[in-house]
Amino acid sequence: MSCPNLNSLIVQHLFKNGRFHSVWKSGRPVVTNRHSFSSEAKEIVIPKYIPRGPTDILEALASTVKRDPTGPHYKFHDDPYLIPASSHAKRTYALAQEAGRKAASWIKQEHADLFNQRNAEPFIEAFSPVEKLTETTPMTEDLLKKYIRTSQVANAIHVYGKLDSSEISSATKQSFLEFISFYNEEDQLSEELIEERWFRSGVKGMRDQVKSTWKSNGLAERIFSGLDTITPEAYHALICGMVKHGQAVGAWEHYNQMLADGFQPDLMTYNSILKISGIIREDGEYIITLINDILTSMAHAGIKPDVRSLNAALQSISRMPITRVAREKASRLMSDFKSIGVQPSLGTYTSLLKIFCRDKGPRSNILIDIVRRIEIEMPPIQDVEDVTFFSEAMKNCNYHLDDVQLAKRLHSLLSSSQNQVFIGDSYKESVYYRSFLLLLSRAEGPEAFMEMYRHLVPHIYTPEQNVFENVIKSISSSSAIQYVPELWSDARYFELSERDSVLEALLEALTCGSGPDPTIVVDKNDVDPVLATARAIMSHVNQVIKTAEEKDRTISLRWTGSMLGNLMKVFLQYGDLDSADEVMMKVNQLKNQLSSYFPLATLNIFVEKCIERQNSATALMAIDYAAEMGYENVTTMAQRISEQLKLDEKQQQKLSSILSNAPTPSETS
Amino acid sequence: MAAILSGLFYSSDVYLSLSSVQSTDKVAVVPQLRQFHASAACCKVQSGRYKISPKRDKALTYEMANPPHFIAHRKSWNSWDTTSLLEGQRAAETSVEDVFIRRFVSGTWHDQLCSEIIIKRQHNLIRIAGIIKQGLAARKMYFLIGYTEELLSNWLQCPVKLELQTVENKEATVFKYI
Repeated sequence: MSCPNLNSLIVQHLFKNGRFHSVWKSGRPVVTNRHSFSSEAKEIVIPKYIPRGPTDILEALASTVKRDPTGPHYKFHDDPYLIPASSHAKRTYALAQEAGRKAASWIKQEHADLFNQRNAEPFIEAFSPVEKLTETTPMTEDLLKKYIRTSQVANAIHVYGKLDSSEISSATKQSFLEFISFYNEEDQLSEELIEERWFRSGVKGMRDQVKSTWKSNGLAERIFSGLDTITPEAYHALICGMVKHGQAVGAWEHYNQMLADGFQPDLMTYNSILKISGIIREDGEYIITLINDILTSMAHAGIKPDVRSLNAALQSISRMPITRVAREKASRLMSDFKSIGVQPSLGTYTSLLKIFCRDKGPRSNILIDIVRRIEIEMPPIQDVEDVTFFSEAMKNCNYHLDDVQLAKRLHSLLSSSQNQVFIGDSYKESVYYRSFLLLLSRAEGPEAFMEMYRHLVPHIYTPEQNVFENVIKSISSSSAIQYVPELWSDARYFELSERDSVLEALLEALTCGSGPDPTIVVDKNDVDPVLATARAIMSHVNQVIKTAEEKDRTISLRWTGSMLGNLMKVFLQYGDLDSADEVMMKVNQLKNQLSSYFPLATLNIFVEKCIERQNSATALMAIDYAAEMGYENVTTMAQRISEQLKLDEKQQQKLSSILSNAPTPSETS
Repeated sequence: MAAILSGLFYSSDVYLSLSSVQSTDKVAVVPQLRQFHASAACCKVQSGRYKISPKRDKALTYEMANPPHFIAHRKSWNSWDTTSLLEGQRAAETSVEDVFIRRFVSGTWHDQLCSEIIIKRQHNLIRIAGIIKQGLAARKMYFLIGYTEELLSNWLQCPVKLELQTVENKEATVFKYI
């Protein structure tokens, strides 16, 4: 009831201030009273009802969520202590959490009597403990069906073994055969163990070759041969199972047997045979003939091939040794399938990349066309091979095309929220980002590179040791010394700071600058970041070696001559002579234990500095080292020292003893 | 209100008659009428307040340092749910579950918690928040997080999430000593 009053008040107020007029003029009446609104109202057009699926709202909500590069992945706790940095920590934390879940479900199974309460209405089966199979459990066909439905392989096999196989209906027998062929008679890793699947499949994905895991003469084959009447469906189940688990020869034999028995294969069986045709036929020509034969017989049978047939055929073609023939056949297949209206999926493109871009083959720009096509429309996920596309494509960008612009386009495709599923698993993800970062470090300038680096690292991707070394080297080769301190702190963060090759690269990068920059350090008390980094690295290495010695552990980290040389160079450059003396003491202490030589040029500069500030003790150390290593100009150095430095008697004696012990240049050369 | 009062009276009547039967054999005694307490009321309220220790070295967190009447002024509730709203459901079950959650979490994270356990219920989701000290390795904490979440969600039959923050040691949460 107060609305009209309020409206009129507002209108009055606006009139008083003379604002109403201007609002009206702009064509957008912000405040109107009811009467004027109703007179001007247009006819309301109710939009047509759009049918929505049950998950449409969830999908719409999910599409608003993007990966936040500034925070850790959502599976980790957002707390400084609990955020993992190194890839090892990421893996450990994720798997530890899942191990906790597993422990809890084990307790749920062991103490099932404590989990009897039923809070939810209707009751959610997943919260109740799984019923155990005991001696007293009545073995029925229904129980077998239930285990098949809930995919409990071991239990299903147990029940099947207890049942009299002649009493099981043929439909159940068929579904049991399909079931154990699909799972290869083994229980799968639970669907709920997301992390374990994410990290485990990486190891599996490394193998390009299909390894046979099929249980030869196992239960599946025994059931098949024990069938009273062999049906085409039984053949389908067995052949598909054999192909899935890498038993190509057996599948091929059964396929031929099936044809001899006069049965008609179905689409899935044809697809399976297309997939293995590259394995059972070795020569390129024979593979093509076989693929043609299968496709023709499919056409005769009136079975329309789908995108999986295309992917399977292309996979077989990618095994062909001669690139030219493979390329021709792949192009033919693509156009043929296009003519019957089969749209390629990402898996198709993976196979095409494998066919067209061989390691030692000629360069092919096919990826550019592919990216252009999926930029217009991203095909939905349809095949297991689809998830291999992005890592394969990024590898291609890096090693084959060396095209940073294309890599960025590819990355922006992956970055959109719906496409995150295409990354596959942890292994493929790390291949993808490794290739991307390597390419960027080669092709981009230091500023642009570091911007992208900060975006990806550390939350989305943690660089491996060799990638990180490459990053440091590229920064060092472009003399962008201002980024080196940041890289050092990253090295600490990624647990790479105890690897000597990383430290070598970092110290090498530190020396690429041109000395202190007065614009960076304005305040006298501040330390130049480069100098601070050099000091930090030195104390860190000393600390690591010391703790290892104390705890009697063997570590691979040792001081080397080049590391100390680079450190000395930085200290001399930045005028930190105390630290330079410290380095010299270290050199003098280790001498022969250093695995590489301390560079002579730096030693010379150091001696000059010693002469400048009349520090005879450290100068003698330098001479001592030079003499020990047999550097050629040790005598000239010694002469300069004895002429230009005030030496006491002891030091004179030492100098002469060093020189007398030193090998003459002719001996060393 | 009336129903509750009558219930109380009823139970005390029963108690009185029982005691009278036990104490007397043959003498018929009229049950005594219950009398009103006539002495001065003790207005002491103790819950949620802490006693000052002799040496004044008892550590209190911010939450402990503020007595209950500061709830919604200086501090907030430890359980967040809709049971106390109009037509709120499962009030009794919710509070019993909250006690259970608190006991389970403080036992599972033994000697790790530095704060009260805050339980927030939204729809069917239970979020359990707390501050723990960095006494365990991070991977062991993740194990316990997974364990607690899974076991509690199986027990309470709804999604349970732990939202933990860590501090270096228990002293970090001390607000004052009394």
